[in-house]
Amino acid sequence: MISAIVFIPLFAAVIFIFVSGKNVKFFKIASLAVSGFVFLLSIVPFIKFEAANPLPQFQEFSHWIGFGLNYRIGADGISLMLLLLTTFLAPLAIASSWNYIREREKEYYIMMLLLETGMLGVFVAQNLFLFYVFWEAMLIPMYFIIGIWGGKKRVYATLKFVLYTMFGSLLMLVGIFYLWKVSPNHSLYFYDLYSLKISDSTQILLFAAFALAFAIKVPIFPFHTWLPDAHTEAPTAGSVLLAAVLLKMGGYGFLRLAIPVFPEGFRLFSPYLIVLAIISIVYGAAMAFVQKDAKRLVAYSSVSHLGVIMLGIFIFTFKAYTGGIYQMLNHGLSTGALFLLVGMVYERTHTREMERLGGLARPLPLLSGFLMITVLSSIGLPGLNGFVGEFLVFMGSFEANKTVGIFAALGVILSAVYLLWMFQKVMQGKVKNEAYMKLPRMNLREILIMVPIVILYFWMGLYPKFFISKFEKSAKFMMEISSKTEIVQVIDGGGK
Amino acid sequence: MIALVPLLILVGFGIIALVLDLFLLRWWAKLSGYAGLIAASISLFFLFSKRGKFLNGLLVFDAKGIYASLLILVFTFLVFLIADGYDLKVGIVEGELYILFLFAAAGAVVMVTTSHLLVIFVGMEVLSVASYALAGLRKDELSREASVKYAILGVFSSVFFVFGMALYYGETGNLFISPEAVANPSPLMTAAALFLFAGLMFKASLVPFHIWTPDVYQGSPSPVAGFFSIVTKIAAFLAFLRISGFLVNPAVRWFLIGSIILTVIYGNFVALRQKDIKRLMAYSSISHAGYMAMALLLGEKGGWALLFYLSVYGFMNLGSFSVISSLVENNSLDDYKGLSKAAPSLAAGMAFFMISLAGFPPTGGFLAKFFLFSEVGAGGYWWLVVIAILASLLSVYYYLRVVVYMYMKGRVEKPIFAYFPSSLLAMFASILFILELGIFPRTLIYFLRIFI
Repeated sequence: MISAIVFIPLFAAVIFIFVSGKNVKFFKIASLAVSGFVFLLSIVPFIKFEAANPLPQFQEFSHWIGFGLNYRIGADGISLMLLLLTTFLAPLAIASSWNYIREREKEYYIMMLLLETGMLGVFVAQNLFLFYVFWEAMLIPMYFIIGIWGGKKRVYATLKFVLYTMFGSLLMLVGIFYLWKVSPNHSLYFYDLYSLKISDSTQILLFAAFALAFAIKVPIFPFHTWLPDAHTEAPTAGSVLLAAVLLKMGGYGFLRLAIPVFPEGFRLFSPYLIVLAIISIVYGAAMAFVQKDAKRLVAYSSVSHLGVIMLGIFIFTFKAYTGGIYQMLNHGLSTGALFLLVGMVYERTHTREMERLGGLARPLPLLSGFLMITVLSSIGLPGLNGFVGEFLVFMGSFEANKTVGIFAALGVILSAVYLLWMFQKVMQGKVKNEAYMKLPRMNLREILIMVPIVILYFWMGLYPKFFISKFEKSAKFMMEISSKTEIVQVIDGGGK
Repeated sequence: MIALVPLLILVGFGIIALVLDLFLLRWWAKLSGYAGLIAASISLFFLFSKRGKFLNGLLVFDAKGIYASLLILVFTFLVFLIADGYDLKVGIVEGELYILFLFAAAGAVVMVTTSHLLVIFVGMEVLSVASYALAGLRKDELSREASVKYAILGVFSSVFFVFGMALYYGETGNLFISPEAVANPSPLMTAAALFLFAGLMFKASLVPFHIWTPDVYQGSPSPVAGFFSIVTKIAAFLAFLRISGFLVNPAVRWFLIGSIILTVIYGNFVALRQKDIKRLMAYSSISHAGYMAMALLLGEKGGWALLFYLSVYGFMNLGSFSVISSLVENNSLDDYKGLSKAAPSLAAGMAFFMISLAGFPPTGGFLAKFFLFSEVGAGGYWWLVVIAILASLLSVYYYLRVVVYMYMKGRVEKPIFAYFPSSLLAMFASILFILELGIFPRTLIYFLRIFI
């Protein structure tokens, strides 16, 4: 079941190779159809999922290479939600590129589908080796997407993105070698790794290696410098998937691997990580303030919002942890939507300089409305999705440490300021350029991209229990694994 | 006697080709070359059931030797495919290219199937002399320079090796590698080991004996450079593996470790600045030699990881050289600009090989590094693995830079290239094998781990 979800895009991409590049329409429609079908397919596990069971469900296993390098996938609550987020956004991202991508469409849609497979694989892999394979493999399509269809400084941005990510990953790879060699039967199954007994000093080293890889991916200050470049230069769909999905992998890696496998390492590092998360919140917000380019502003707002997510995970109280995971989904939606909307503005005006925009609400009322609601969702207005996640994170943070809570909340106020400010500059005020009055309104395709996202804002904001109940148990379970070792022994037998 | 069959086949078909070439039956000479490779490969399969020592122990056809010989033949076959078409285009009209390849391959097979120093030396010389001639086959200054440079420096390395042999003989009274003799840390033995190592390090192009590599690669005809980049390496590393017992001696071990560190750092750093694709491949082959040499530190235990690495590396490198040959000696990176539009299949193939060389999953390049580095780490050299893996980060940059040139830089004039059917065949075969080794290597890994 899950295998099908993961590999259908890959399969389609392979078929695409043999289709002539001249049938542009075919690639647009077929890739949308494939990713749409994958989304529908991914609803099945969502419905069948047993929320009371915290362990990975729908497991599939094959020996593959052997020696512990097995193919094992499955989804627990957390994986399931991220899986769904990815399958939900991929068709929207593909649809958003229909007009934006005007050269080498064949290669583009192949890359998008390959990227989808890579992203889905990361979230459902239950074997560390398989996880790493997807984690790295996904870099390649992203490298091409930024490098071929990106903006002016695309080559610099894409190489920076790949090299930064690789740097962290390679040290993690050394950690994986070590785990592979010490693990009984060379097992790299996550739940076998959780029960490994590793000496404290080794744990600290390995946690550092894993944490570096994930911190670069998140990214946490001071490892964030690749992000503004990559986001700004990437084509709209690339930014959307980068922000919405790729950045979640870092957080996912922390909660799935770094923290539970090396709990002692985490205990030692957590105060520093919390401080870094707070710096990310404030620093990202401060940088967003001074940006002239709307897309770059959104990119820095990502740094800030991801700080909140990571804070939720690092603080390690149940509320904050759950909130952090929920916020991952929210951030995926709202920042993804922000990039989509900025992209739509750019397609019309061919500029993202906020100085040169203004008053677009008059020619583009609907777009302006979508942007408003997305901004509100992003800054956490009660009733919309962002509020729930942030509220949980801050509640959890206050429980653990008041100072931390205060600083984190400060970041949110800042984010309200700069995002509303951006809205004001782009949409309100005088129309800067007469030609803007003739801009085409949102077409049906664009409206259809935005509507499902907006529905989810309300759904997730008004009835969060529907989603939280799916992963609550898994989250609690991951926390228990990370704090005690006894429980692990119990599931050890069942997990095999 | 039976052990001589593969060699006799190779040399026999080589001589037949030589005679045919004499009567200007160029096409038949080439065919005889292909036939020789296929026949020799088949004979290896028969030898596998009878593996052991032959001719009083002078030839050792064990699993390792047979597998390595097979690799040599397969890769020579690929080189044949790559050269077919390219040769006429650059004006190599005689069949001697194929004949020399056969003799060189025979030399390489000798080198991987013996643990007697003199026989190693004989194999090495057969391989080398053929190689010197091969390097100079294109009729221009660059190619001649490559040939002369390779020959002069190659003779030096042979001298090192012979001197090492002499010292070894002086200590033990014979030239068989025996575990007791190599473990002896006496000064004479240490000196012998260092000289033997230096000779082989030259062939494997490990720093500081790498100096010939970039010039020879750049000057040689592209398929020949491809041949040097893999067949010579297989021969050198297998010979290394046979004498890896010397590494018990700390002086020798640290000599090798020092060289490895220099190699991975130097090779990767210098490759960053290369503007010529063949020089880039040369430095890349230097750094890969550095990674592979790490497996030697484990002795026989590292053999399977080394052989797996060599298998994958051969396909990656020859695949890239099949594309390089298709651009017929337009080797500047600038010549690759816009290739993705003019020749999508060549560009896609090259991009694939670059990604594999950089070690991204799910290609074979990743698994090769995964097994090699993890084995070396488990052998207690974690720090060395960290150095090598960080150095390999640099390689990601320069491999992807080739892709940048092909895909992300436009240009006005059309790139110059030719589609050679057999070369394309070699390219697609390499892609398939790399994917096979990267995604479904289970059978091969089991084979290597059981027999080697």
